[in-house]
Amino acid sequence: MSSLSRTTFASLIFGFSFLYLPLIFTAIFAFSDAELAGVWTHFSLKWFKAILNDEDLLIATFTSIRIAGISATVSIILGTLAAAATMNTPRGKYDGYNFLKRIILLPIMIPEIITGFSILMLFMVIESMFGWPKERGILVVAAGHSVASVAYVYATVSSSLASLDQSMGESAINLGAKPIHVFFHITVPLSWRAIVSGWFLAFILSFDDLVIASFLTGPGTSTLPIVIFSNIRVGVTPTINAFVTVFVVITIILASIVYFRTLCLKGRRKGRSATR
Amino acid sequence: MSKKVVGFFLFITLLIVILQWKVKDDYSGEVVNVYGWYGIIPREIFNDFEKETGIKVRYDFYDNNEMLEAKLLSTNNGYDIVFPSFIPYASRQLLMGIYSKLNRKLIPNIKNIDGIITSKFGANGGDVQFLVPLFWGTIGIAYNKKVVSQLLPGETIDSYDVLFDLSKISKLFPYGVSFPEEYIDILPQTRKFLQLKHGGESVTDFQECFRFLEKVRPYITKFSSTTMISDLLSGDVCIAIGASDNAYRAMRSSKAVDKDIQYTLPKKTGILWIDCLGVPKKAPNKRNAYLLINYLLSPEVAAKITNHSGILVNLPAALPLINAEIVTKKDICQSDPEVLEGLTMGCARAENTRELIKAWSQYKTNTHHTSINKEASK
Repeated sequence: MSSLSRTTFASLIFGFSFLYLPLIFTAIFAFSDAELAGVWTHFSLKWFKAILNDEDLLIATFTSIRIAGISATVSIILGTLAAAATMNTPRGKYDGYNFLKRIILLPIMIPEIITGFSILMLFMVIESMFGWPKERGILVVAAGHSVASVAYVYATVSSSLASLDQSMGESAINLGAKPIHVFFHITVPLSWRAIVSGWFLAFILSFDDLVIASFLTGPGTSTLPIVIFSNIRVGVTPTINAFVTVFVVITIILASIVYFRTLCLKGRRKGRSATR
Repeated sequence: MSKKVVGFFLFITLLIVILQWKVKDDYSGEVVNVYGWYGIIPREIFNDFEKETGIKVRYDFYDNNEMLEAKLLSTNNGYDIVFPSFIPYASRQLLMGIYSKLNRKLIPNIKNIDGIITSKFGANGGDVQFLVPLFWGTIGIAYNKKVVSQLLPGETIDSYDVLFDLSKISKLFPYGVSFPEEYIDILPQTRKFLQLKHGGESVTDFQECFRFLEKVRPYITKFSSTTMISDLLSGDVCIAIGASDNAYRAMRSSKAVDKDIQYTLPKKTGILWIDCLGVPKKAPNKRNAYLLINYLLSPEVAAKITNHSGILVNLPAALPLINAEIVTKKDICQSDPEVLEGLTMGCARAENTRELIKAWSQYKTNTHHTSINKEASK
């Protein structure tokens, strides 16, 4: 700490409070007894009990997890394949590939509201032509989310692939390996961290999305953001605060587990290299 | 490292299988898809209906009528029951032919719906063959009694005078004045307040309304219908124009924050609003929808809805079963036929909707001289 000057320390505090004060306030009001969020009366845990009785919220959470799981998985498969295809080509061989890379990243630039609307149009057209999908279910929403998140997965995975030594793949091919073997035995194992983090990124993007979902949802697919948003009409109850608090706590616990595991692994590795 | 990759992909495959299996599970059996507001109908009612009939209720939420309308207009939305607000939404959707004719044989309880609200519904372009006017309420003035009586001593709040008189609203202004989000909740009573003639819904009348409201504009601190409850309770505003069910909810929680919230329905300038039940033409499970509507129209179930959310149901038979806490609040649960008869029901004509929306949004953003007035000055 001594190395930090006072101004650095102050800006550090400012930066972190900017990031986390909203969450802290949300969490504080989760323990209030009042019927409305943002009003403090006295301490109570009743809103945490209320979560368990709020079936709508729980069903929506489960729906959101399902949609996010499917969409993250679909986009990780598509995104990784796209990254491998565009990054593994020998440089200069296909000029078109540079163009392709830009095209894949384009959905990041397109506003979500346009993505949502166009996917809705697409499904309406498909439905009038083939009679499928009969109902806008979970798969339709997941498909919509995948479209939006493939680009993010591609960005994550391809940046990790760019740092790989290309000669490994090239020498494997020289020794007679098929490209698919290169993909499964070299590309994927070397970039699995990026793939996993891409999966979680896509999961969170889908879990958090309101715009695309509100275009695409049909019966039985109200996602968590939609429920929270429509909750506002009747005045936000502290159930939402309590729910958010539980979520943040779970996230913090998971993140710390990962962090400490990495610390342990690093320590073990250091120990190993010291004995050598 | 390779083991980890295999493990990860196995995990993903497993996940897909589990998720897919659950999805399949949801589509089997008898269902009815309901699309409605959050927090109006408690889950227990649907669970009871499920136990009684074996029909699974899938309940989805929207937070505004525009969302619902967009879904209704897009083909094959899959919903069986929707809850549109009557004016201006359901009334124009009725003209578009979105709703299917109700099979009244399967809804014997529809006889419970009767009285002044239903006749007013019919008189304003509603059709009970297609829509069930189930929920209703009024638009009036909700206020923080302590603050308002301090600012305007001796004043009885019983008309829009308190908000439309510049000497009065200017005193309330520092403590917050909230107006409705939609023009539909403010123009009709303004027009009535100005004692304009009935029936004339031409732009000239609304021009006068806007010209009149322009004077009040500097003293409005907020345009919101949804946050009225928390605004009143947190002290952001001391007076608000809003719906009676929201006002009731604010009153219900006002004791906890040590505030005295009151609601008054101006006798001659009050607005009546109705939320209906409708079955879209393309509803896949119409029979189940009728069964659920019939279930909701039984007095016991309807009273449960009112007791849960404070929204009134248009079933005279349910009145004895409603909590005294709601019934005793005369202005919230208005039952005087004379007063009900005198309530206004929005500005229904569809032709000037676009102009009104434009003028209202300019009014809200405080662009002086709304377009309607500009045209008038030309």
